[in-house]
Amino acid sequence: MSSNEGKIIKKSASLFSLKKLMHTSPFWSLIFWALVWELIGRMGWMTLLPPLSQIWFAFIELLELASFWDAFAMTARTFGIGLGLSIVIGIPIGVLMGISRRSDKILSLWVNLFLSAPITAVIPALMPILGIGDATVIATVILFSIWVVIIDTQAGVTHVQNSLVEMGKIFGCSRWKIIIWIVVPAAMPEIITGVRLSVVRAVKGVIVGQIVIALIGFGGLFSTYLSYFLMERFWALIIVVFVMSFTIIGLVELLERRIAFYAKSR
Amino acid sequence: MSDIILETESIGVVYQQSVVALENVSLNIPSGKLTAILGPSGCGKTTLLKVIAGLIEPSTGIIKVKGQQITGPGPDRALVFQDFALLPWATVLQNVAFGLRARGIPKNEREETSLHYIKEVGLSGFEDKYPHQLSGGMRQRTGLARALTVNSDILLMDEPFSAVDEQMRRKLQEDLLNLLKIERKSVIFVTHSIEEAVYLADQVVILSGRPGSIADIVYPEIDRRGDIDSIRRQPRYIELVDEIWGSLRSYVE
Repeated sequence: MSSNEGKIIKKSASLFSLKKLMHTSPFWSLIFWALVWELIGRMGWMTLLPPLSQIWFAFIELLELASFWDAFAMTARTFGIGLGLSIVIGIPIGVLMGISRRSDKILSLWVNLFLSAPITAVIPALMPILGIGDATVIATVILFSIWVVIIDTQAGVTHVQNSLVEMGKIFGCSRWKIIIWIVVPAAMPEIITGVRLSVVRAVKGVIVGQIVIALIGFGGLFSTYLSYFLMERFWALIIVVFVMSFTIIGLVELLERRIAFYAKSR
Repeated sequence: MSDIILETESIGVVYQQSVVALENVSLNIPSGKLTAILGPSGCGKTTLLKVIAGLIEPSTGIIKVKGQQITGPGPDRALVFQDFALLPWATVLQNVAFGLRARGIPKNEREETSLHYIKEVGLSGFEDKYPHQLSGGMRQRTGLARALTVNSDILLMDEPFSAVDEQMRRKLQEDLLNLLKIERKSVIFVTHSIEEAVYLADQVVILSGRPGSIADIVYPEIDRRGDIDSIRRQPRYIELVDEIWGSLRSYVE
């Protein structure tokens, strides 16, 4: 394990080494498109697309706005609570569906339905029930992210080597101990994959939720900037949201790699 | 003949109301001896072992351990698995200690016991390795050590050496015989190898195929007290392998 950890630390360290970064193509691609953006913006063909340098100044301005930090705090809060609930509720449901055929029969249709359903359409229906505030956004995050946790946990649990479960029985483990000591850890690679995918969906959920409601958080800011034609701030906010999503997803992938080593050895 | 530690009385297993896996298997397992269950693949020998282990409920018949009927797994029987059944996220020590942990033995005590058996199966120095860092033979030694820690009288082994290569299998067989000289266990050993059965067993139960039932029981009576290297050169060994093949070949298409 220690050798594995060593490798990962090395890899993540190299991410921050500028020298290495310069030699990787995404960096140059980023520079190239930033330059294209800057040029098109400066030509002034489209008022909707200001030059990137002005967006940078708008970003600095954003950081000084209380409304930005309020929106940021709300996003972080609703994202955290929603994702947390998805994981805490989703994993046990997935385990249940993996070990009991009856609960699988009762639930799988609904889980699969919601997994692919356009959840955005449901948000307006949530507003009269949960009000315009954190609760609706949290519900949106959960509706976006919980299904994939359930599906992946179930897949992991149903693929646990049968002999491991038998081994637990042979040594006198109760059903509960078999689940906690054997089934859940054995399904961990799939569970982590489910969590990673649910993080991606939760990021979408938290932003989509705020935008559909359009009065709170980043959604409120987006609609304000658009209606007052503050395009620099609008774009700065979009970039902030993109970078945030990217960072969170990157962190989860790092975590997943730590777990992956025993997925191969099964 | 020595005492009987385990007996099966007309065991039958039927899957899905129609597939008969085992039919009328009545068997006596002598105490302190090694019994091999031998048969072609698909003859139900693993099913029989799992019934004895308490993992599969028989459709008919009962099993008695020391005269008491059993209804599921119990501390009197430990199983060594064909695919090792090791926890990939746990070290050798943690894997070996699993059975004791399940029984609520405190950490210090279970690690002490585990280290003793890790040494006995020849895995000293590998306590902190993970299963994926071990060879097949070492993984099965881990599985064996785990089965030994719980100190069951009966050791069930389900084709334990079939997933390792030929040289390693020979080494493991020799080591098992040496180990059984120290640990007095009653062993039930499932195998598809005639040579392995004759080499190891005091009693060889030959199962016929579909539905599995006892075709014959052979008592090798090979002298294993001396040098185990010489077993394969004994005329009795060669004779028996031939004889068993003679009776088995009719069941193999």
